[in-house]
Amino acid sequence: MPEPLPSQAPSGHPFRRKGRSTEGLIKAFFGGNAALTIVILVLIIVFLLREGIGFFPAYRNELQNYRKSGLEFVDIARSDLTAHEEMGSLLNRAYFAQINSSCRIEMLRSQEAMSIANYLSEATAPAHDALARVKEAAGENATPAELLEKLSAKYRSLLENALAGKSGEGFPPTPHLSSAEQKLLCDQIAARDPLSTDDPPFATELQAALSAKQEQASAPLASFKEAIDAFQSTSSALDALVTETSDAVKTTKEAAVLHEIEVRKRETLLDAAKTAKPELRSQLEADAASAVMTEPVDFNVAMAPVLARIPEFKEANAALIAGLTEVSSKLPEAFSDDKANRYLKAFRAATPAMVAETADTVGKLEAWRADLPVEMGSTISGFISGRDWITGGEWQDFYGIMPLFVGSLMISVIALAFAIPFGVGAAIYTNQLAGRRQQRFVKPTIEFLQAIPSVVLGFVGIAVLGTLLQEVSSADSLSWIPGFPIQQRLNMFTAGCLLGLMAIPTIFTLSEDAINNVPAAFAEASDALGASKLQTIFRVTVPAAISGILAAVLLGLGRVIGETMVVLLVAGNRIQIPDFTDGLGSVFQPAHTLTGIIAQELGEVPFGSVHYRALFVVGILLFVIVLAINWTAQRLLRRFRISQN
Amino acid sequence: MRTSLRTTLGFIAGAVLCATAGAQSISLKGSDTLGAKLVPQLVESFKSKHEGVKFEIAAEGSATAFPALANGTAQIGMSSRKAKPEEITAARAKGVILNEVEVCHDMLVVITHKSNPIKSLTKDQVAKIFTGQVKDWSEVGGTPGPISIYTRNTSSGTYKDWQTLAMGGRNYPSSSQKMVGTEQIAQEVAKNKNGIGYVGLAFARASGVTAVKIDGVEPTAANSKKYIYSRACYFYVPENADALAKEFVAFASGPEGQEIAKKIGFVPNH
Repeated sequence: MPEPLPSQAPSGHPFRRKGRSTEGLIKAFFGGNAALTIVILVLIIVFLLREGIGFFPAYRNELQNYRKSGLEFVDIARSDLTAHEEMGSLLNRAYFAQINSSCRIEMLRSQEAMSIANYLSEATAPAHDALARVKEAAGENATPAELLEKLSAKYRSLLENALAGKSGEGFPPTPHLSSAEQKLLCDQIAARDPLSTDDPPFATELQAALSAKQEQASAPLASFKEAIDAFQSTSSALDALVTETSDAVKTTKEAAVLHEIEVRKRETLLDAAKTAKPELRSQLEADAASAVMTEPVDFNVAMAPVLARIPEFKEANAALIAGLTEVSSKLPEAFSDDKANRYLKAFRAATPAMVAETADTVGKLEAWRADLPVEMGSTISGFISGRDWITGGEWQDFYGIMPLFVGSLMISVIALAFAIPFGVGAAIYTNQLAGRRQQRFVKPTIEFLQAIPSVVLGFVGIAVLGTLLQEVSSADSLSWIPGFPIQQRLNMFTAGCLLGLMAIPTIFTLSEDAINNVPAAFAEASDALGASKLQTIFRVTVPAAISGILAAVLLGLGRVIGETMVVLLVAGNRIQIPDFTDGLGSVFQPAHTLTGIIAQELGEVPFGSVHYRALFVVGILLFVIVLAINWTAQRLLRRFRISQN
Repeated sequence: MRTSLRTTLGFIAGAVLCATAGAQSISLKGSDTLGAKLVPQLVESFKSKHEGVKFEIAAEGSATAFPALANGTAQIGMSSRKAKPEEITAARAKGVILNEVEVCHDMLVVITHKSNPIKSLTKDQVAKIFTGQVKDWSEVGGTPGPISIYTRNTSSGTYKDWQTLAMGGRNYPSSSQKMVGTEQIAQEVAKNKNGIGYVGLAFARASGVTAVKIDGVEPTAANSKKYIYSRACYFYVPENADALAKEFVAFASGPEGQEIAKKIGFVPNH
């Protein structure tokens, strides 16, 4: 391109005087802006890397302390205890499931009575609360009779309304209570003092009937219960051991940490003293001199008494295995209840694994060495594939991003499962099938979705979508859908739906562009060969635009993965890899995400701590993921441009 | 004409400057337990006596109080736990000496969905539920259903207090859900019939939840001595804070402030 000619600024103009043209100045301004943006981007990357890079050495140091002070040793023993508790819990659940199966009717009757009581108390809550407040505020003074009268009247009218089934969602269904019983219950509630919160006598009666029935049902299972109790008590020796040794190692660790803090305190104070004003300096230096009060911890000495108890651990371990074999022989063949049977089966299936694991423990405890260095490789792989993200705890912090990564991935998949059909479908329709007037309406409307701030969508998610889904899912006719009824109002599915909504405009706009850019000759040739409109769309136009559509989907994915506010508010924030045994139903479990954890924890971590750096590494990871996605999308787009020529 | 315009502008500018200089502002940062209900009420009542004082309250967790105090972005730090030695040191290194003032006591209340038939738990059962050893309500005598645990997030003083008070220092299970605020815990428990969570006493009367008795003791202010899950809440004030901030702290821990605390559902200092 030839250089633009200098403008004809009048002589004497300031630009002219300095020998610069206006265009040159404008060019320099825009060029400067572009350069500045790039510099800022580089600075951001440098900052991210600088803050994040220190994480791995620091985390490794922390893990080294975890090992040196013996916390790891206790955790090895504790894992057996946890497994044992889990097994005990399975048996207990089987036991209670079996009992409850024979008291189903009583339980339902009691629950229904309870739900009527709850319904009525909710309906009268405004008047009830007001009455309570008035009474409380008055204290010893007499309450104004007029006000009391008014509130009581309000209470009665609310109650009558509720009894007629006109309040809230109407009278709760009570298929297991006869109408006479229902009436009795309502009368009892209506008759009680407005301020009383005691259960009506009939509800108490039902509760008592339930307890009696449960007692009756538990009689034939007494020997099973005894076996469970015996099994659970076999862990008491290990439990005591773990508690005692964990106290010991925790003291060691705390002493070590305290010493470290004191050393750091001295350094911080000395650093501050260097730059402080003279009158403050001497005081800071004096503080620094008296900062370190404790001796450094000798880990070997501290660990000796714990290691001396290995024989006791051996004994406790043997007791655990013996208890497991014993209870296995005492288990009943099968229960009449399905659920109880399932728990029993799960117990039987897990037994061999647990026996093997428990048997291994003694060897592991004996082979454990406090002075074994923690490898850098295992630190990194522990971060990437670790299943625990535990922070701010009393015991030991772990940073494993697996659950966060899986959460982000699952939510993105759900979001795309919504956004792809809607976004691409709408694009095909708008571009190929819709009339001009429809096009003019549909396009801006869908693009308008992008204008909704994500925090607003988050609120919609909590208040409307989550609640709605939960209510709909509890309908009996839908219970065949896996995961229904939904337990948690905040879950991956709700978050995925909302994110899908956010990704639709991106996918729609870009796919529409891609389809629009397919040369008209393609479609014309297809028409000329006698293909129908739909054949042309699906066999010619869309395949020709497919790389552009894929790029659109990828950019939509980039938007979904990077989104924070919605997942923080709606995804439920449970740091656990979802339990995939539920099949498709596992999408209704809560999860935490890479973006959510940064938003939730970064504001409060001490500056420069391991936790702070861990969050930066998560940030770098996110950056790399989104960069890779966008790069792939760009590649695809370039390929698609070639097809256009 | 021009001169009069200039004088007017000058007067306006002067007036604005005077107004900003006259309006003193106090910024409070830290605990959500204190900052959500109690402190706003204290502020209202304090304002009625001191015209023109402005307050800023940011309640995002106790851990946020100390960096803010050290940087001078807050005049008063609210905390539902005692400050850690490293937090005090960090402030000291920046020349800020922190004074601790006990504002009130708080009780942590276990809440369940209102339809849950369980109205009472033992200390041991609570520990087992929150550490994940007990997974189903039927194991503690309730209606069968998997227990959903709602907790505060890791920056919260309550999160750590609960770990020491109720869980014997053990870790929360990974199945627990971390909520941003106490209010959110109450909301989610009210929506989940298998939910359980802990909240400060002031939130125990939220609609849709039941406050569970612990070892037969009802969580009410009157039972504060018998109830096991109770703790102190603090204000942290730099020694060189201005007189107004100190006056506010004195007001909060004085008889009037204690009366307000009691009304909201905290336990006053004895």
